[in-house]
Amino acid sequence: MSFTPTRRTVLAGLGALIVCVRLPTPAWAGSGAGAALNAFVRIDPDDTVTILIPSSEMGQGINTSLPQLVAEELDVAWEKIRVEHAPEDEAYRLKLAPGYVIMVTGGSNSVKYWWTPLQTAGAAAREMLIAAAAARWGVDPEQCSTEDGVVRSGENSARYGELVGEAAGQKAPKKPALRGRRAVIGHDKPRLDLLDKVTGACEFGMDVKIPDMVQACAIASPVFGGRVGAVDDAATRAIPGVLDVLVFEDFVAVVAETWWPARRGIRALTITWDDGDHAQLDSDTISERLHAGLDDGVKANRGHCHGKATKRLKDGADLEVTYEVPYLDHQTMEPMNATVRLTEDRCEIWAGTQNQTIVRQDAEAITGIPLENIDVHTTYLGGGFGRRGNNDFVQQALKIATRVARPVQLIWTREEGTRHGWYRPAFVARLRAKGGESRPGAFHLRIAGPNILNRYLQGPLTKLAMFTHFPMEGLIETCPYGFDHVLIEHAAVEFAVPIGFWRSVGHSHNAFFMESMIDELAHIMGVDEVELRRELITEEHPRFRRVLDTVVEAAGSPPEGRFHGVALHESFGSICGQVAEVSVDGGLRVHKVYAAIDCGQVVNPDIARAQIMSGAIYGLSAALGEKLTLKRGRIEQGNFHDYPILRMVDAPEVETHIVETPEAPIGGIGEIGTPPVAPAVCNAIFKATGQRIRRLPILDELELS
Amino acid sequence: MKLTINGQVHETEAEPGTPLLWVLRDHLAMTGTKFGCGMAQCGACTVHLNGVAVRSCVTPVSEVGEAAITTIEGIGGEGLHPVQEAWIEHSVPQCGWCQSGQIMSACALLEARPDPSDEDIDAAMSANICRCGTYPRIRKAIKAAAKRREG
Amino acid sequence: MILLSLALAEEPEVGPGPPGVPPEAGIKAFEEQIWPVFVHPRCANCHPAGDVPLQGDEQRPHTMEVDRDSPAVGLPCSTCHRTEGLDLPDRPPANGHWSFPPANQVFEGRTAAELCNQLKDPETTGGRDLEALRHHVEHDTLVLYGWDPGPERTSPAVSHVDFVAAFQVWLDAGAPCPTDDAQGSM
Repeated sequence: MSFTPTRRTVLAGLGALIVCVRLPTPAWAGSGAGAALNAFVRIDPDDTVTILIPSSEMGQGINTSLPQLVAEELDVAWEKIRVEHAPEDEAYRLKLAPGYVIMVTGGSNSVKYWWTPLQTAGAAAREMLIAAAAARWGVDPEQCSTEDGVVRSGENSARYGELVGEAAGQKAPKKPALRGRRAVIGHDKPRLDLLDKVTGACEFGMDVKIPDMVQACAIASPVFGGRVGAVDDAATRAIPGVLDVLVFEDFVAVVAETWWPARRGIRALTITWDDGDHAQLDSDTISERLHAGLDDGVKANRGHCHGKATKRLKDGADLEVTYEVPYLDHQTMEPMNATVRLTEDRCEIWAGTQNQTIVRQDAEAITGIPLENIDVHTTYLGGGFGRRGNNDFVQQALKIATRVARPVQLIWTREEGTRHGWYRPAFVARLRAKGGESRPGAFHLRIAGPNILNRYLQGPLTKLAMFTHFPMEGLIETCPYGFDHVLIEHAAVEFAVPIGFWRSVGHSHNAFFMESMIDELAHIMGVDEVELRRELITEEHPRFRRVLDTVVEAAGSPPEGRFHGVALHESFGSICGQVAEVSVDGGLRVHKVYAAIDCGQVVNPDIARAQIMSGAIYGLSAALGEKLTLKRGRIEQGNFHDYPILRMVDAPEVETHIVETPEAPIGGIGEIGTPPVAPAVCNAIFKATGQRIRRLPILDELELS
Repeated sequence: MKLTINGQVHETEAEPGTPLLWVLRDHLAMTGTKFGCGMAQCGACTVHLNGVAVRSCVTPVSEVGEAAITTIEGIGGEGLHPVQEAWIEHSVPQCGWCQSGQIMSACALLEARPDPSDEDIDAAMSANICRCGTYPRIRKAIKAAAKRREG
Repeated sequence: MILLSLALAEEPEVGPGPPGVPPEAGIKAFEEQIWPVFVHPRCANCHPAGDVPLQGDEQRPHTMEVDRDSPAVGLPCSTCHRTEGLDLPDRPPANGHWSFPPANQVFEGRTAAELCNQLKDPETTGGRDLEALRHHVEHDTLVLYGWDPGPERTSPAVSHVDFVAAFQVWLDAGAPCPTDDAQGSM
């Protein structure tokens, strides 16, 4: 999902800027004397091809799959390719809606959105190179061919690197013919960042070094919405290396020559906070208010209604169950950080950000520097998962920079990140259902929780179904089940706790609800849960059927002592089915997750498998043991000792089967592995123990004998 | 004070109580070693002192003395360590932030136990967190590296 | 002096104490000021009944799969438990020679009687006789850590000074051991 601008500005065309980007890796082989053929392709005399990618690489592998799209049409050897993050510029913005055109990475949409523009860029560059060669040799372009970075015609041949200067002078074709090959797309091209990431050479945001840079640490009010009251900084200023203590309305920063004294400095401060209005907020109150939202008397938005579910349930339900999930944090491995160099007339920002256009707008608002003099350098992200689309830490760095004469690098502690996150919201759900012979007689699902979009949009947009249905994503239009009598609705319950886009967003809780509830229904109906799904999947959804059949077949029957649970869910345009293989014997063990995915086509199968493994383990970590709790308006957790992340010993094998539907629109990969894993595991736990887990995390609920 | 890092002697004016992690990153601009948690819970900061794995985020630089420090930048010597080669071969890294520490911990494991079992890998590597969930590939790569070292 | 023979240990050897320290005083010192220290989390956490060290006042098993075999797979205690502490909370306790004692030096769950006999058996004290043990509890840095464990970790209610003094009293009384209640009183 994407991140809205703080003000809806249609940015004027800025032209195709060729900005001299600082190279992200020291493995740069280019001589610098080449030329750009368009916004995405630059070739050097030594044939090195630099592909500028519009999306932020945070592990999901788009720094490799996006270049594959270009390379397929450009026709170059893979070994010649290097990749850079593009600067913030019109050429790299997504047209998400009228007046809403921003450079942003989210919604698992990079490959989907950029497929055609990148193929076109590769094809256009190739045509320009051919045109240059044809002009040089006095032949017809039709008489030229290419192979791996060389143009040939009869006896003539020339490398791209030799031609690029002339090629850059050729007219760029608007609609170049795509050759539509699959020599690169669909193949396991090796990731372009492997060498740098195993040698420590890869430059992440925190690794950026600007000459004369100072470093800063910051702390904001532990109570949401609180402000700085009084600050006693005597002890802080006495720490060797500390340069200054800067007090802002809502946070305090310590600036030092290096980070450690800044970090010590934060601890040495005595701050009196003005807690504001939300110091009484706690987890119990939140849970109570969420559950109150399940009452039918509370206004709700209807997502899907068919038949007469409520009427049929008037005389009672065969199944009435309530589910609950907690606030979750992204917990990227790299803590939040941003670097700013602000001079009188220029502002440069280095950050692992998912939301570059808004960073630029924020910089203009905070520094007063005009947009055209603001550059955003995207560094590799040590994990994003949606967190780095929120620019709060960048805004802080910018504000600090306005009060410091030198470049500033702000690094948060992990504790600050945990307590100032943009969390996956806490949510509850209630199902009232009637059984039946082979199909449920009624299905009334009501969910209650906040609408993330309230944080980002205001005004008339909030009345649109697109807005009000957002919390029900995964339950309505994309749900393959054709219930005969169904009502799915959402009651908005809002809190002061900041919420945002956590990997897979609303699907993270909605898949848990729906896929657990289908199993509960199957149980009371006395039917097999896979059969019930097959019965309910409508004829319009054959791809779901194929994915379900694929994963069930792959999983086979569990070995003695182990149990299988299934889940099937569409998110971000792709379908993911999973079978979790689980045992409960003194403790809970998730041995393996079988997965099947249909995302239309896959650019890089190995990266796709890695992403499903990643999404599933991310979701499993949350399902097993993650939760945030509040007391007196503040998050109680701070670091990995009280917000436990899944470790090697508990990591399942993940086996992914790819089902392709080439004629279908491209779907996403980065987030789709997360939603099915919690219900698949809980469904398996039920088989193993008879215990139905309706509240996460599992290890808080599961009774082990 | 003088520090021997990857075979080279470096001078630093860092305060003695500064964690080795921040001396490496901020005083010596060696940013391959990463900051993840600051409390030895995640392993991203792992370096070797005289070949033994150490969490540099909780090691004051005054503790180091003449111990030979090895970081991710130097673990491969002139080329790549078999562990680094295996990591590339099995496409282990995703975001990559944890991987310096994972590799340093894996190297310590293989020094101590050249042919590790799954239980050995669990025991040695569960103190390193990967939020991207690359654990299954780390496991595979460790076993592959073990074979490489053998041969 | 009454020798007690217990099922658990060999007949312990006690010599005559200096005149004036009655065995009852020794037993009282042991029960009230020595035994509570040994079974306090700061000590018992690294002297658990099993192979996994314990963490915190709540004595839960050490996280991250750490156990007796960790050093054998390249993860010694000193990887995280360094020599000197940092001035920040929630860091692993630091002490020069953080390590796991041999498996038979169990304090967790020991009754006063069991512990007493254990301390008098060189097999379960790393070969230390009582005098060496007294020196150990007075000077060893890991022992001293128990009284300076950093924020959010409790120390034994008995101060180190009183603990050492009580140890001396116990030795002077001839290192008598209390009985388990089940065995009846002396």
